[in-house]
Amino acid sequence: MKKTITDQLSLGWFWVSGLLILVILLAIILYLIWRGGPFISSQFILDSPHGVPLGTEGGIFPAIKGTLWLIVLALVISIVPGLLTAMYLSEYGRSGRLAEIINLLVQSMAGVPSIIIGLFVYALGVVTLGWGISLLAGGLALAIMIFPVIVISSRDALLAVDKNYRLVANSLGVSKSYTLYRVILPRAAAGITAGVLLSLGYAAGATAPIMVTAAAFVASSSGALLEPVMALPYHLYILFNEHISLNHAYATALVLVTLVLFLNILALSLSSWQERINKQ
Amino acid sequence: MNAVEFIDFNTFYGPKAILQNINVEFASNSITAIIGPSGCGKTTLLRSINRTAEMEIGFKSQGDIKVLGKSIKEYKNVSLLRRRVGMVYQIPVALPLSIRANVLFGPKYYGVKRHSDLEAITEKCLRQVALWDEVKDRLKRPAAQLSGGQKQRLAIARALAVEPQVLLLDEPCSSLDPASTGLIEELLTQLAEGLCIIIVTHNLFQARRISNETAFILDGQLIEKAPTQKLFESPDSPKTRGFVSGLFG
Repeated sequence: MKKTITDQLSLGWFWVSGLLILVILLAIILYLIWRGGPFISSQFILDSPHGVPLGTEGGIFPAIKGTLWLIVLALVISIVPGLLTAMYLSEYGRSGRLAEIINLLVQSMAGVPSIIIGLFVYALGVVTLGWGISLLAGGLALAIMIFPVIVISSRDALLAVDKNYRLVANSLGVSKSYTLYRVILPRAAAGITAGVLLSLGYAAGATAPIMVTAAAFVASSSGALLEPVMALPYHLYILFNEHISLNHAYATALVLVTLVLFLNILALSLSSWQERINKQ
Repeated sequence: MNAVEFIDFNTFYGPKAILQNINVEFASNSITAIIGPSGCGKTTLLRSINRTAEMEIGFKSQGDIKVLGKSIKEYKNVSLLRRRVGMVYQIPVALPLSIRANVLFGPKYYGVKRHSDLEAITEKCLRQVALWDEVKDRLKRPAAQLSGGQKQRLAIARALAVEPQVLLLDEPCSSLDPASTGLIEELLTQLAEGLCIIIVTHNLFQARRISNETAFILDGQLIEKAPTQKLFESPDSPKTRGFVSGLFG
């Protein structure tokens, strides 16, 4: 078929847009490597911040640890309710009234600005329940933030499983949960994991929810639930905002971006694997 | 005895009437073919029997169907009904499990646990569909590796594994090559002993080859049901005559 002028113009526009995004992304990474790369060392990764003012020397180990603690805690809190909600939406609620309402709620939750979530957890956990600025409060705020992401991506992974499996299982008279655990969940596992990893990358980079709930500029990040933690995005923000050390800010940014990129690449390879499974 | 009996049965999708006033019986130990043009309600009729039609949104029914003498509404647990009424679909579906696990998908749910019993069911059902010799060395391999015809025979074996008394088939051969079709037709004829088989088919030759009786449905109404030879050679209704002689389709 002959391509029309409109087709060619749109195709050209797609290419330009795609290249533009790629160029921006590469520029960010290359710039970070250029500015931050020289300051990355084993000491920077494995040491605590030192110097006067604090952060000009030493490293960011507690911040790396703190960020990992935060996303693991967010995962632990959100994974079970997230998966159960997704399973309800894809297998049980199917276009019923309740499922419609839950879908709407989850969509709206995804649209709540993350600072609002942070302030909510501040009011509830930090103040009312008396947790103080703590790992627990930050983990909860991040869990609330990634919950809709986990629900939506898991629901879609479950719905992408061949409908004929459900048809066949139904006609054998077996229960929905038997079908779900024997066939549907194993089949969607890679897609669900990919969605969860993406949400963890999202949580690792989020600054607003932890600023008011969990983050301290100096902390040991021991993993104690009721103590404040250091976190990469917050550390970066302070280094930059207080003009402590631009060099260390760039190096911290590079570490954070590497962590998030690693999670995203893992997620992408899992989801392309899932697509191949679905085509079988 | 009649395995399946429709009594003044009507179905609707939203406001639209699909099946109208169906009264028909299907005998045990025989194959009944259901023929009719696309969209006439053949599949709805089939899926009403094991109550999978009602899973569609907007589906409603009036009247009754009796399976083995008991109204389908009286089966408190729909899984009990579906255990007695097996179903095979148009597209050959292999569950993403091993060949053996496909056959045992139903029996394991219904509580068969002993290893020797499970082995026996696997072999018996795969033999019934003439698949045993082809797959006995690779029972633990993924069923997805089978060909379309093999998958369809596996689907029949999976349905047979829960020992149904009625077997519904919705155009089971329409996506298969002639050789696989021939094989399935042959095994259906063998299975008819002890089973009530109801098969929806677009292929009039197939209906003629394998069925004892044939029912002709047009626009949601049962026009005629008769012994297959009679229905094709000297039908009572001029509409049936027109359809089987290919005047409309």
